[in-house]
Amino acid sequence: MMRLALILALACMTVGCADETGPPLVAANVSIVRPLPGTQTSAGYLELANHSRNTINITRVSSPEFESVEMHETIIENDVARMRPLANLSIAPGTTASFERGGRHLMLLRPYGTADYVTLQFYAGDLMLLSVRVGSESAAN
Amino acid sequence: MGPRNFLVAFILGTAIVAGIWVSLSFRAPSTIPNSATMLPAAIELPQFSLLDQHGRAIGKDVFAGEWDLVFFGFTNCPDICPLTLQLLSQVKVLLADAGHQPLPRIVLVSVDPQRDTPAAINSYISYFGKDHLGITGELDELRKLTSALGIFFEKGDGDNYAVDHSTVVLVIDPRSRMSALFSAPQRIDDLVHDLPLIMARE
Repeated sequence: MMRLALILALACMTVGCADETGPPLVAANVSIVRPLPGTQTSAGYLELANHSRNTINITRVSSPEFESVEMHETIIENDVARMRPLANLSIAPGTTASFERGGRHLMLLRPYGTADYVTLQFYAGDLMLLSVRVGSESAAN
Repeated sequence: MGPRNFLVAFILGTAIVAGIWVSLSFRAPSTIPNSATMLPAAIELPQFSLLDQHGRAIGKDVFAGEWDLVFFGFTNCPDICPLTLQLLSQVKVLLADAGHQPLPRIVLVSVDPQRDTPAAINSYISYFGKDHLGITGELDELRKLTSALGIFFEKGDGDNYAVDHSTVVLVIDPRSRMSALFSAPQRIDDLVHDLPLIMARE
């Protein structure tokens, strides 16, 4: 299983780094499910840690391998699963937001190819805070 | 304490420890399910006319003669559906490894028949293992099955719509009756423990 392979695009001037040598937003345990044959959707899971002094608001996620990426949340109430889009993810300073199976997740829509490798780009407004590239994984693992 | 008393105390202590060990080692396996809801009376499935993943017409009899674990979902559901199918597939492997017979079949019933053609269901379900059954078809026929089993589903808005849906895993017995169910979140250990108990009741 391939994990996080590349992190770039620091934005200390905007979000304010706690440590001038480190990035404000750090991804870990990134897992992208390879789209199943014939389907138009897939999912991504990861942890996003805010190492800056300010709240980070993720307003958009994109990927060159997919037509669009949306932040979603699966809410299970009374044995019914409801999937709802998240317009914004707010990460307080020093905290970590998790995208995990059966909960908050990235929904990857309409792959352009087999998406064996996937790049995810996280934005606050127009500013890209983080870019992560990983190998995708089988859903049947 | 003299040497004789010490010896008696030692023997008694050893016997007590040995007794506890034996009782723990040889106690009968639990017959109480960890998480399954066992229905006091099995619910008969209604008649319906749907399609399997090969496009063949199927009805209630498709469940006859074997145990089935039935989940309602759709192929464009990126999170909970693959998670559940993966879990059910692992449960089946673990039951097989433990030598359990019969093994349940895993069934996905699509709650998105508009997009889930038999071919779409086929490529999706076969990804999770062989011998799985995928079901799709006309909405009216699907509702006959879901309403009888208390399964909820509701299509969302837009082109990239999602479908809200029940997340229970139903256990259908070889007489085409729902005999138990597992509520979400399902746990592998619970299903591996409970399924043999459910099947033994038949």
